[in-house]
Order: sequence, then C-alpha cells, then structure tokens
Amino acid sequence: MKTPPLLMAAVLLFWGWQSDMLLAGLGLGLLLESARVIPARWEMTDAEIVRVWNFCSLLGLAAAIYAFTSNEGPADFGKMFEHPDLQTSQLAGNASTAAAIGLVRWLPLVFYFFMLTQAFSARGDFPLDALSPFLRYRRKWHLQTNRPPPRVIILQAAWPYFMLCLCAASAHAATDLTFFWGTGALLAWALWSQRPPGFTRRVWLSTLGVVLGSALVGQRGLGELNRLTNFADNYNAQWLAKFMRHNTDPEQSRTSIGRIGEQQMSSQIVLRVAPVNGTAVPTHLREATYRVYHAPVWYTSGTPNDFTSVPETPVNSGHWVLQPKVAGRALVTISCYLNAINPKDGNPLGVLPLPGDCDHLENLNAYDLKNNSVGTVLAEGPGLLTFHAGFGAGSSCDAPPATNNAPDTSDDLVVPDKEKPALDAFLAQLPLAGLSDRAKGQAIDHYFGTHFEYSIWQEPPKASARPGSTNETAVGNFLLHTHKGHCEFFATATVLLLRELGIPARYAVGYYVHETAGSHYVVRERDAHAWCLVWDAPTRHWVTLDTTPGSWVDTERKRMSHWQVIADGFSWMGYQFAKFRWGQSHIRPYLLALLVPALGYFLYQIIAYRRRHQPAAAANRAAPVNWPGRDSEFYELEAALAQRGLPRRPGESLTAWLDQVTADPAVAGFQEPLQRLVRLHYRLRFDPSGLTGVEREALRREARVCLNQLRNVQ
Amino acid sequence: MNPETIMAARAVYQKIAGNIGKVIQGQSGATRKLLAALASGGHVLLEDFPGTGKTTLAKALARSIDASFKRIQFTPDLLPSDILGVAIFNQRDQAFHFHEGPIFTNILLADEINRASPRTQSALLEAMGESQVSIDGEHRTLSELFFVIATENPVEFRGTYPLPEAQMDRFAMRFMLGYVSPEEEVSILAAQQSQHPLEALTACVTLTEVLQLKQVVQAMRISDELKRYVVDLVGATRKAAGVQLGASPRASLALMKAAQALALFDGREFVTPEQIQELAIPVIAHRLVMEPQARFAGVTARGVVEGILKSTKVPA
Repeated sequence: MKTPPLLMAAVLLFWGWQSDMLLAGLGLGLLLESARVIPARWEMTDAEIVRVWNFCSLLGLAAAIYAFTSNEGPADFGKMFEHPDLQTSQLAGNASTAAAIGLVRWLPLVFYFFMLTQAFSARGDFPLDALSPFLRYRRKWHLQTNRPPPRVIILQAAWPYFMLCLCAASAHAATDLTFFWGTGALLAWALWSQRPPGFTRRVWLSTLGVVLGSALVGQRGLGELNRLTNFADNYNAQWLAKFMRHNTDPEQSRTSIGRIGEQQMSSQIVLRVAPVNGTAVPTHLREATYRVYHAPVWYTSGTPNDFTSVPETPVNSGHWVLQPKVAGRALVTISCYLNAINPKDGNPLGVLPLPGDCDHLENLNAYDLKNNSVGTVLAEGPGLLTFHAGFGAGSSCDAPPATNNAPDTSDDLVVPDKEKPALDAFLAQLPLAGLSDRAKGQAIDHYFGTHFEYSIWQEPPKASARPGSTNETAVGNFLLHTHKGHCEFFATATVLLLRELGIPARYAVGYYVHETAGSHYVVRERDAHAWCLVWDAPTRHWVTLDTTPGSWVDTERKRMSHWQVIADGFSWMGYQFAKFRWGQSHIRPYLLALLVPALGYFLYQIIAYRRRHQPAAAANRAAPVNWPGRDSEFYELEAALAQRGLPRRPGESLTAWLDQVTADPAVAGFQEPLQRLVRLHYRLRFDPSGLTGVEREALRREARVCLNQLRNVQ
Repeated sequence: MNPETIMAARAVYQKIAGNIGKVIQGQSGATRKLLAALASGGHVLLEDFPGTGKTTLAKALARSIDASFKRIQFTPDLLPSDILGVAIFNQRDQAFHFHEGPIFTNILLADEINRASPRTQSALLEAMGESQVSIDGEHRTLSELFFVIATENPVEFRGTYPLPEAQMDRFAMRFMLGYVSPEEEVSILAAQQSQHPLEALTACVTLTEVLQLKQVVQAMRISDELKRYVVDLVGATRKAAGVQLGASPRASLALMKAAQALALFDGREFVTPEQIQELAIPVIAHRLVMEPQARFAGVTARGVVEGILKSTKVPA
C-alpha cells in the first residue's frame, strides 16, 4: 500500500464509528495495516485477481438484494406496479433510497476482501482489465485478430478504497459536525502525504484552511439561509403572494398600468404544451381572473381566499373534476413548474395555467387541488406537474356574474368613478347604438385593432399639453391620447368599457400559446398575457375577448436574442431532469427493466466462463499424452519424492529440481543414481533416437530399485 | 553422424573456450553463450556498462580463430558506406571499382553499436539476416562464417540511439557480462600487471574447424515435444500483459538452434529442456517491446520472460 501508515486503519475506524460498527472498523483497519509488519506475500496472478473481484462483485450484488428486500423494496415496488399512483410510487422511492443508503454504508465491507488481497499480494496493484469482462474480451479479441492489444492500465486499490470508506461514512444518521471534521482531518492527512514538493508548508496549510473554512461556512450558511426564508415565509401574512410564476397571485394582480418606460420580460420557457390526439391547443391558458380594479391593481373580489378543495375522483386516480356534468371534447398536455413553497408543509405550490373552458384534469399527481369562484386553480404537489387538461366544453367553472340578489352583484360591473369621464369620452367616439352586447365587444376589439398599436414603451403623460387634465388616469391617457400600450392596458380598458356599457366583464391573466417546437408548444415568460372575459348572456358563459392588437406577438418575438436556442437547450435539459426528479418520467421502471438482463448477463458470464475454460484446461492436460516416453518409471520416483514434501514446480526442470531434492539430507545419498536415471529418462523422452531395449529395461529396473530404497529411508 | 565428428566438434568448442578463459576471467557463462551463438549461426549483442570486458571478449574470440577479423567503432557520424563499402571511380581505366567495407570479414566487432544513427545501424540488417549485402543494386555474398559481435551501452546513457526493433530481432542473443567477483577482479589486475594477456593470445582453431562445428550443431537431435516447448515459450510473450510486441518466429528458431549448440557443449546428442531454459532469457527478452505503462510500473522484458519460464509447464 502506498498510503501513509495507519491512514487506512484510521479511515476504517472512522467509518465504523459513523456507521455504529466501531469494533468491526477497528478490527478491519488493524488487519489491513498488519500488511506493513507481516512480510508474507501472495503471488497473485491476473486470473486470481479477477476471481477475487468477481467474488466481491457478487457480494455487492447480494448486499444490494439484501438491502432492497430488508427495506420492504419488493413489496413496495410490487404495489407500485399493481397500482401505479402517487402514494405507491412515493413508497417505492423511499424503499430504493433506504436500500441505496444501506448499500453505500456496507460498501467498505463488500470490497474489503479485494483490498486485503491487494495489501497482501506481492505486486500490490491490479490491471484495470481485471474489473470488467468486457475489457478482457476486448484484449482477447485484439490478440485473436492480430491487432496491437490495448495498453495495460495498472491501478492501485488503496486510494479508491479510502474514498469509498469516506463516502460510506457519509451515509450516517448523525446530525452533528463529527463527520465534517473527521472527513476534513482524514483528507488533510491523505493530501499531506501526497503534497507537491513545490509548495511551502505554510502555503499548503493556509490553502487547506481556506478550503475547510469555506466548506464549513457553506454548510452552516445554507442552514441559516434556510431558517431565514422559513421565517420570512411565516412572517408574510399574505402567504399566497410568493408562489407564482412572475407573481401571478390569485388574489390580486398588480399591473404595469401607469408605469412609464419599457416593460421587460425574459424569454425563459415556463410552460410546455402538447396536443393530445392531434387536437388544436387552446391559444389562451388562464392562470387567474380578477374582478375589482383599483388602479393599478386588480383584485379577486371583496372576499379573499374563497378557495375550496376539488375532489379527486376516484381517490389516487389523478383525475380531478372541475365542472361536473360537462364533458370536454379535447385534451391537451400541460407541463408547468410549481415555483412557490407552502410554508405549512414545505410542498411546492402554484396556480395551474388552464384553458378557459377546462372541465377536468387527468394524470395530475397533485397532493391537493383547490379552486375559487372565478376559476383560478391552485395545486400543491411535486415541483413539476405534467397533466392532461380536458377542455372545449364551452363553459367554465367561473361563477356567473351577479344575479339580482347576490351580494357581489356589483363586482363585475363596477367602474371606478375617476375612470368614468375618460371611458365615456371614448365610448362617444364609437358607433355602438343599437348593437347587441356581443357586437359591442367586437366593435371595441375592432376599434382597438385599427386605431391603437401595441407598445411596451410608455411615454410620460404630457400634462402641460393638456391643462386641466391632471386628474386623468393612466387608462384615460391611454384611451384618449397615447393610443399605445401593452396587453394590460387593452385588457383593463376593455373590461372597464364593457362594464360602462353595462356588460359584465372580468380581467384574466395567463399565457398566450403560439410558439411551436417540434410536436409541442413552448410558452415563454414574455408570452404572459392579459385579456378580458365577457359575459355572454344568451349562452350564459364567460367568453374570452382578447382586444390586444395581434401585432404584439411579433413585437415580442423581435426582442428574442439569437442565443435563445442555447438557453432553450439548457431549459430542456432542466425540464428532463425535473421530470425525473419529480417522478413524472418513466425512467425508474426502465432502470429496473435494464437491471434484470444486466444481472442475467453477469451470472451467465460467471457460469459460462467456468464451462468454457474447463474443456480447454482438460485439452491442455490431455495433449502431452501423445509425446513419447510418458510411460517412464521415473515419474513414480518423482511422485514418491513429491509425497515427501519435495514437489516439482511446473516451470522447474528435472535437473534444477534434483539439485533442490538432493539438498535434503535424507535424500542426499540418492544423488548419483537419480542423476543417472534422469539421463536415461531424458534420452527416453527427448532423444528422437530413443533407448535400446536393454537401456529401457535398465531404466525400469533401476527406477524400481531406487524407489524401494527411497521408501526405506525415513 | 558418427561419434568421432561429434567429439571433434566438442573439442573445437573446448579449445576456443579454454583460449578465451586465459584472457577473460570469471565469465565462463558469457563465453558459453557467445560460442553457442557462433556455433548456431546467430549474432550476439553484448550490453553492459563500459569497462566490463565486452570488447576484450570479442577480441579474444576473434584471435582464437584463424579467421579474418574487423572492427568498426560506431560513432554518430558513421555512414552506411563506411560499413558496407563504396564504389569509387578510377580515372585511369574510366570505371568504378568497388572497395569492400569492413563487413566483408568472418568476425565483425561492431563496437558501441548504439552510438550510430538508426540509419547506419540498419546497414547491418541485410548482412546479418541473409549473409549478403546489396550495394548499387548488386548482391554480394558474405563469407561462409559471418559472425557479428556488437557491444552497446545501456540505452539510458548519453549519446546513444536505441536500436530499431528489426535490428534487435536480427541478434540471436543479447546478454550482459556483469561485474566479476572481487577475487576474480584481483586476478585480472595480476594478469595485466606487465602486459595484456590478449596480446599473447594466438589462434587455436582454423576456420574449417569452426565451420564443421556449425554443421555438427545443426545435426543435434531435438524432439517435437521440445520444439513445441520452444514455441510455447515464445508464443506466451505475445499474450503477456505489459508487452506491446511479442517475440517473432525468428526467436523460436534462434532459441532452438542455440539450444542445439549448448547440447553439443554439454556432451549430449540431443537437446534437453534445461538448455532451452538456460537460453530463453538471452534469446527472447531483447526482442520484446514493452508498453510504456508497464515500463513505468517497473515491468521489464527480462521479468516477463522469467515469469513465462516459471508458469509454462516444462516437459520432464
């Protein structure tokens, strides 16, 4: 071992301490270090190293199976395959985690035998080929096809085993800092023995100090930060305020209305939408709806937090019904992240972007689902949700506008007093007399489309230009003067204009879906949009009315960077990882399916290796039978001497062996007859002319005599 | 072959060995190998540190045989024509005349062969392999006894070029002399106190006798089983770990021939496994090209062959 003395014992002791196997760790460590004082060494051939490694691998496999079974793994996985739902897959995940942790803890034991044989082997290293049958087959194949064989990579086991022990010690349950300091000390010890000669002791020590210090600060700091955010979460009375993508709050929406300058949104991908069965995807995905406008904020209503739970029917099926008795025609797959944390239980939380007339959700692995009277759906679940939304029912789950007696009648018709003058002035320009409610909305939409333009740039109102208009609101300024604005202006203005005309309307925010990427759609943060929901009295439905001029999509697209492709690539990778992390992909079952043939191949390799090599070995033994002189009586002598504890090694020639044998005082007297016999035997065996009949008889006779004499000698 | 011829051939060996023993002390093993190479028609590469007696051994052998002997001191600026010879234009008769180089001899001492560039070293390839040289498109056959003794310093020494693999393969054997025991070194000092014993050395055998020795060696019997053993030993180097390039069939051939010579020297009429084992390292080891990784790990070609000798089952 090239490690400093006692380091391996220390790391095994440390591992034993951390894993509650202190005595075992101590014993194993001392046994390993005894290789330094015990001079005896094994001559290990490559084949023996392979055998030891195979044994350790089998041991590891057995340990893995044991860890898996002892942690209720088969039962939990069986349940998951029988009833694949959220609870069972969570249980199966817990079982595999527990099994993995257990296995990691045992790894030093599993590979201890390999390490021990390395410590006591004469060579002290092993070729990389020993670890993998594939590498060995590659070498053999190169030899058979007369290619230059690949380089032999020689490895030492000690340092990898050292790191393995540290990793295993990390799978402990202690929460104090003993692991941190123990690992730090052991690593420092190991690194000290390997330090480059060019650095002074002071530089080396201070570098180590900086590394350890920053690791400690990082570890402690993370804990402190976590505590701080928890505190902030609890302190915030408005617990819903934090959990949206770009602050979509089901209670209120602060618009940029009245703000001047350019409004920026990033091109980050926030949603992925894919059609199911080739149906068209809805263009508008709504996140939240608001009813009350107090510039510049839209509020849900006077009664906040009227969320009620949506039942999952049947339980654990992932099927959630938003509108009973309605069946949607089409399905769309939506993937969205839940970015906020519920401070009560730490689960991810977020509002779902849904088609306006969504009636039910399928395959939704949420823990809890709530909606409110204006159709906002709030989900609590894993960080990423991928689900099917059924839509196309033509109706939405939003409460209808005020009927005559309801207390919140006014909400969908209320227009703030200070907005009224501008709205009336604007409506006076439109020829709306005699039109139906629906036609009025379309007229406004048409007017906006032809006379207004989309702009993310807001100029400051020219107060000096219009004296006496200092009380003018932002919406008024937009309607009467600038004629430019972004979607929030158009949506807010439309809602207020319709209300001023006596038509119930609501303000909705969400995403506009238009950008395709292969078979699915991606929705970026800048596709966030706002529009108007208008009550269609004849059908008694809320209808989407998007009055923002269509040019807004192009305007936003122009701002896209050329490097967006790269960012999208990373976003895709992050999405794939999130799918795996939150159990939304099917990788785990695939892994299991892959494991079975891999284990099968391993078993085959071990069995077939034996079977293939046994006939070959037998053939090797059988070959010499054909050579002449195999019937020589000298072999009986050799066997007799071997029985006396003087065996001949395979590579030892007869004369070299005889020199060894006759050094034994008991046999020393036989030197002369033995040498004569060897000469005769050699002539019989290796002289193509062979022996004459007389000589052959002499060999037979003398050998018998010698054998008898040898038996008499004790 | 009648026993008298064999006895005569053995006597030739003993005479040369005795003659060399007068000059070189404590190197009977090296002399034995050197003569085995001479008798089996192979060439020898002596590798050792300066001053261990390489050149003296070669010169002692040359002086013991009544044959022509030439010596080339290899230097970095030596050219192939300095070895092979050159055709020079004679203005008097308006024709080219070939001037033979030192290679046209019976015994050639290529001293410090690894000091010349590989290009010059390679000039020896054809001569050593086929006993002929091609100069200006003309084949010239070398004499019937053509024996090259090359000496070299270990490759790590300054100003040396490693020999190309093909050139290495042309040498039947490479071995070291090694330092002698202190007692023998004292007797070397005593022997050379007044004059070098080499100068007093005279030829003890004729060229014809050496050629007869070679013929007898070729006739030494070797069983098929031992031929197989030779091939197994050489073949194992091609599969050994850490070896990039194993030994060639030429190595098998050289091992068999040299073992035949040793069998004659040992007073036998057939080859035994001991003779093959004795020569395996000097005949095989220098032909192996080791992998850099294995070389750094301290694996040597000699160690590989030793391992093969230990692990290969010897016929008995």
